[in-house]
Amino acid sequence: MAEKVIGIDLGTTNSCVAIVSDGSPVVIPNRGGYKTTPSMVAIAENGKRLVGHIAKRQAITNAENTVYAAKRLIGRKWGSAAVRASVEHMPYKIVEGPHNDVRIMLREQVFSIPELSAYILQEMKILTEENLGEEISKAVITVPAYFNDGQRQATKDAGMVAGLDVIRIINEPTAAALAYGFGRDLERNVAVFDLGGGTFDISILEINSGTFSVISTAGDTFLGGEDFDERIIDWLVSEFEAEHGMDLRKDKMALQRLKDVAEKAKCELSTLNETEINLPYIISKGRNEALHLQSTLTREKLEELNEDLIAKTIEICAQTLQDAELGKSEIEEVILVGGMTRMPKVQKMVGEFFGLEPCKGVHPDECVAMGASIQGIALLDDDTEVLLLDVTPHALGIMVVGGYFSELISQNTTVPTSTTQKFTTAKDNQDSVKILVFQGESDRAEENEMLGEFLLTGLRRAPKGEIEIEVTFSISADGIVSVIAKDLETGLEQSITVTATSGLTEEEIKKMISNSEEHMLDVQNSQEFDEYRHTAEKILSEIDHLLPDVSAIISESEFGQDALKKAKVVCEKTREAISTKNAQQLLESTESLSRTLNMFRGVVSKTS
Amino acid sequence: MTGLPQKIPEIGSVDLELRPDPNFVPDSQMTTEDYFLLSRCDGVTSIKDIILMSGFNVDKCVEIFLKLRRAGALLVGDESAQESKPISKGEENKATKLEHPTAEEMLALNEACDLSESEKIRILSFGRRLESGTHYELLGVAPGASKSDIRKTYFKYSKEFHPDKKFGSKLGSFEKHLNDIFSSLNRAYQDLSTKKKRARYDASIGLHGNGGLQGQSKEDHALSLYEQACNVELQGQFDEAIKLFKASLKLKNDSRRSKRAALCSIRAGDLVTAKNFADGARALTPNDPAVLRVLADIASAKEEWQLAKDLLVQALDIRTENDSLVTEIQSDIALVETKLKSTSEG
Repeated sequence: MAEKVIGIDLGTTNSCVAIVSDGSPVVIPNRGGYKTTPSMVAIAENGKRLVGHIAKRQAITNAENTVYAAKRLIGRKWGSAAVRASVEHMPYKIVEGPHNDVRIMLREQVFSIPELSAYILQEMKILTEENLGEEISKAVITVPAYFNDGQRQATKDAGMVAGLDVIRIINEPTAAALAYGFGRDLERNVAVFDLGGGTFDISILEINSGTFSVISTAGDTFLGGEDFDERIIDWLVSEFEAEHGMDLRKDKMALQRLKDVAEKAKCELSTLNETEINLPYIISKGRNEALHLQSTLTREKLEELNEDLIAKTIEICAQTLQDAELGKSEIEEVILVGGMTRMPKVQKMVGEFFGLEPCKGVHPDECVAMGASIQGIALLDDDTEVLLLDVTPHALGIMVVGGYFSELISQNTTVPTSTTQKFTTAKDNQDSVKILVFQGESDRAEENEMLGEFLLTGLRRAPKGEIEIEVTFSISADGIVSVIAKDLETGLEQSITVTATSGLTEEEIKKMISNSEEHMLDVQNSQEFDEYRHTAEKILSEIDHLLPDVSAIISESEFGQDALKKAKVVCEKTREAISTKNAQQLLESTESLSRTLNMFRGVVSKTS
Repeated sequence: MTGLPQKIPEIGSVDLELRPDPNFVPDSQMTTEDYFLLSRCDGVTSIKDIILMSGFNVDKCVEIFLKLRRAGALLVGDESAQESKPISKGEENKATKLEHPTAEEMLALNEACDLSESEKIRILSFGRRLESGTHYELLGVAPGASKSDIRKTYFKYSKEFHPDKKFGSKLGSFEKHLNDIFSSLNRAYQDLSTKKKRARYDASIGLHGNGGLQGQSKEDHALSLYEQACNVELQGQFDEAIKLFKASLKLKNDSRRSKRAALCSIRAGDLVTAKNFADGARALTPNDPAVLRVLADIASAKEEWQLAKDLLVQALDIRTENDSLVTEIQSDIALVETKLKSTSEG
């Protein structure tokens, strides 16, 4: 049996973890029983770190110390568009980091983005460990297809800080296709249509008995559910203005409420035909007079408001097929991923475009994590038939004379790959060449991401164009880029392995790892332990109190006897953890204990 | 010259169709004439018609057909390809010895790693296929092989040679071997994956596909003119480059190429032409900040600083994933602003 490995979908709004168990991928629910956990981290007033649902619950009252959508910032440069937009819109404080990167300040303490993402990954790791009762150290994490090397590296760093050995980073749409095709003997081309909260992705894959080959991937990183919400807000605002002559956009509080209600209405209209929108006391008009917003949004209206957005996704699909030189009829299945694909109109238009009923077999929120866990065992378990042939997200090349970018490996090339090209010197008597390695699609080298540089020296002084330099680019299966430059006349060569910068130095990562270990350990310290004991004892006493009534009701049935037996074991375990001062065990058994209490309460309330 | 026979021994009626066997691995015994006939065998055309179309005399055709058949290259009628034909079977099972290993190969065979002796031999002997030859020889299929045969072979070899299949194993120098093998297999598969690409590839190795001579499409010609233009520009021949850029864009209008032509014109000092190219790019992709940046460069070259600034500010307002571009635009703005300041002071 191969070593266990988890698959983590580290999402912008929600994260999900899965593991392959007995040959099929299963999603691991969190303590609340939910299959996805909000990607939120907060620092509470007492300095405690809160992750997931707890962080979300206190977000309204602790907005400036609650981080969400950190994924938009990971691996970004300080000056980038995404960072500028976030600085403007996010309630938490975003500051410039020491390496032109981004940091977040929470309660006077500065955090890097990989560090904050690590807290979420760590939560997913702990969840799995609690669920399986064994330690997990390896993981496959998913990222959007358009992420560049820097963003991928930053995600890997986050895994490392969380105590995970990230054996591979894979693309989200690819993972979805793995979840779709795993364990089925398929031979077909599939399209993965992924419309999430902030971005749209379309990927085309060729599946051939266990091998999943990405043919092409494209998308729009500024098109997603939030744009749909924005359209609803625009509509509400203009209706309101027409009626009352007041601009709700000028009021921050009103705008926040509009955002919440727009998202809710949009979701409701996936199942309902119309929904009421009610926002009492939305804005004050003069002294002591408040206005209320009341409206009805129909599904039809919603579709009308967003028609062009959906049309844009379809346009991108058509372009992607054309680029891949594939006809629509050559796509035999369409897989829908992302919350926005729940919208009936989206399903309908996608279906019409491809002339296919979109596949209902995969769960749009869970399939990405499941796919990641499948890639995990595909790598670690020799017996699996699965092989994923992924592509490089961006083109790679070097800078040539004139400041141009000379592409050696194009976008969407299957990895591993390597390619060689000859270059010559640009000046007379040039005795060295500088190789500048870039990643991107712009013809101007400077408009691409620079990955590294090195110097090849010792060239013979000669007229320009006479000395030939052979440059070889290779990308390994896990995306590591190496570049070799060789003087063909002398055989002298120079090479580098390019490591993208995540915005963190190695030292910083090491420090963060030890910090996070410290945090893991402080569960053991006595103050925290006392807190846990206090909670556990409270639950125990209520269970003891309810026990006579409950057993009278349910002990008749076989199921009831079983439940009572289990409850007893849980209570014993908890008491044992208290007496041995084992904080970890106490934490675990308290979880089961509170479930037992809930069950007891349910039994009593139903019969009383 | 003998007349057309009704039957060919070992093959059958001349009304039957022939197909290349996907498992066939060509060897050095094959001649270009053999290949030519093999490439006519498309599973649709009958033997009779192939002989008529080939331009060879009947005896010669029969002789070649027999040679191909005996070498395991041909499937007759609806005969199905066996999983492994003698040649490839021999190669795969006989992975016990590497013929005449080079010094480098000897070193690799003795290297300490997690691969077995026979795995090493298999990788090294397959690696020899990369040295020379066509994509067809690498994949071990006939030049006329069907798309599905090429696909089948590619996926079979992917499963064997993709380095992920040995994930976590210590591979030493074999890691590079596997990477190189897979990389070449994939390139071969990509080049043969669509009709267009395959026709392009076949033409490049002097092979005319089943469809006969296809000529060059406008798109292909536009691309090759564009590539020529870029090369000529790198050699400093700007005027020649601009001419070629114009010709390419006339055949196929393309924003990225137009933008590149504008950059070339700026370098050549021809700002009027540069503006024309840049405006052309803008018309096609009005929301590309990089195009606006080129227009700003042209304005700057004309010392129209205010216009340059306006264009850059407009560019900065467009949402883009390209952080490096944003950084460049920001530093351009800073530069233009100092120019504006100094001109207003002066």
